Parts: sequence; C-alpha cells; structure tokens
Amino acid sequence: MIIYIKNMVCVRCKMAVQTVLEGLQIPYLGIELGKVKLAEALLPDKQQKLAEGLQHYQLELMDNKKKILTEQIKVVIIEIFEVRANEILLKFSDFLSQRLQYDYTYLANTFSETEGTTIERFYISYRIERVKELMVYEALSIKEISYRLNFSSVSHLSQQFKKVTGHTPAMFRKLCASEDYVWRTCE
Amino acid sequence: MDNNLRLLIVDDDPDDREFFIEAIKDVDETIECITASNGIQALEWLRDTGHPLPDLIFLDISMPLLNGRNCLAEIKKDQRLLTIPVIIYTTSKDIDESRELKKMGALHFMTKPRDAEEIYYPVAVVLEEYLFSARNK
Repeated sequence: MIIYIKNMVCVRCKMAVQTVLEGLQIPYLGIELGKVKLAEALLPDKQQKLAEGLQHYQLELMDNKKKILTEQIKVVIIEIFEVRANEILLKFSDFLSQRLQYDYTYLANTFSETEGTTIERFYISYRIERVKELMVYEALSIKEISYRLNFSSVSHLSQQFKKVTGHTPAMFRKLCASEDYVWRTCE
Repeated sequence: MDNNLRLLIVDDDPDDREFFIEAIKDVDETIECITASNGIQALEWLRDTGHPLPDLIFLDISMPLLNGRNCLAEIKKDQRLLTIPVIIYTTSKDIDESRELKKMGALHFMTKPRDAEEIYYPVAVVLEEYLFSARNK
C-alpha cells in the first residue's frame, strides 16, 4: 500500500516520517519524498494516529487525488533541482508530463486549484530557495550556482533572485551574516 | 548586428501587452519586444522581409480579425516562418484545446494567470528555457 504525504521536501522530512512510522510500529518498505510504501494496509485507527503523528512535523497524510497529484508535481520539481541539477533536461513542462503521464495543462490546472498558485511560481520560488541554500550552506559563487541550477546566465539568476526576494544575491549574503535574519522555510 | 533576443507579442488587449512587456523586461531588459494587436497585423509584420524575424512569438488565442489559432496555422504554412517557436497564451484551461494547438505546432500552451502580476512566472520559465537551450546548442 502506498500513502502520500504533503510537505515532504528534504531528508529531514524523510527522517521525521520514519520516526512516526517506527513509533507507531507501522511496517514500511520504503520512504521517498511525498510517499511511503507500507508493508500492509493501514487500519483506520492506525491511519488516524499516523495523520496525527505527521501533523506534529507539519506533514499531512493525503487522501484527495488532486492533492496527491499536486504533491507529486512538487516532488518532480524538487528532483529537477536536487537530483538532476546540471543535467540537460527536456523542456520543464514536457518533463513533468512525461514523469506524471498527464497533459501539462491538466497538471497546471490541478496545481492552481489545490495550491492557489501556479506551477511556474512554485518552480521559480523553489529554484530561488536552492540558490539561497547553495549560497549559504555551500558558499558557492553565483557563477557556480548559475551553472549548477541551469540558469541561462548569471545576470538572469541575479535578476530573478531580486524579483522573487526583493534583494540582490550580494545583499542577501550580507543579510545572512546578520544573526537575526531567518529565511529557511523548512527547518 | 545585435544578438539581443527579439520577441513578437500578439494580443488585442493593450493592458495585457503592457503586462507581457513588463514581465519580459523583468527577465531580461535587453530583449526587444515588438507588438501586434491581431493576427493579420502580426502576419503582415512577419511577412515583411525588411527586418529580422523574431526569435519567439507569444500569441493570444482570442483576438478579432484573425484569431491566434488561425494565425498559428498561417505561420506553420509559411516556409520562412514555420521554425519560429510560438507560445500560445490564453485564459482557457481546456486540455483538448491545448493538445490540438500543440499538434498544430505550438511550442507551449500557457494559461494566462488571473492576476496580471503573475504573468512574470510562466514568461520567465519559458524564456529561461529558450535561452538556456540556445546557449547549449
């Protein structure tokens, strides 16, 4: 049985899910971003407890098909920047379509309906979050980040960064040096 | 000869044209934007050999005189124009329509966001991909 979980974006989210499953003694075969393969079907009371346990980590057990598809879209976008960064991929819309086996228009409509924002906005916002991570945690130069995240040029990265965050990358580095500045959404 | 990207925006709504230009300039202010307010005007400009062809065309679907669908069909019939990538944008969310327009040769089918400010995001994704693939050719 496969269950789908909303808001899983990183390794720490996987560890949180593992903790909840093991705490409830729910046997599982594998944990991936957004989904878990369980060894057996869940009884309703265990499902309730699992949902409550996940909620503690701001994760959500999903049962709505459109919400599940939306979460799958997010996982594919995360994969583009986490796993396949540096690979020359198909057009983003074609890549999503191929991976999820739906027309891009259907995916875009579903995403907007359930999230209240567009796929493209999520895609760009996520990419800028990766830029921030690579700047702060890996101390990479903007040129290296631009190459790693497939920006067409350094100036486009800078322009998009400013458009989304309101700061230039250089200003952002300075802000991060200040202790009070908090920018991470997934801690 | 300059190497700046040149885009043709075909839309009957002057406000939408402005929002599009603003979004494009937010991606790269060196991009040159040419506008047409319907399909006939766009085809006349494209068939005029006195200036270079655009690198990309953003084409609205609902327009008077010659709509986006018929304009796309004309572009794809013309040997000189058929390789120019055309991005269709519309308020429609019709999946069958998007499939049909892609079959007709549209590179991308983009749903116009309700909030004009949001146009930046789909435009930025499409333009970035185009520029990235052009750089890596």
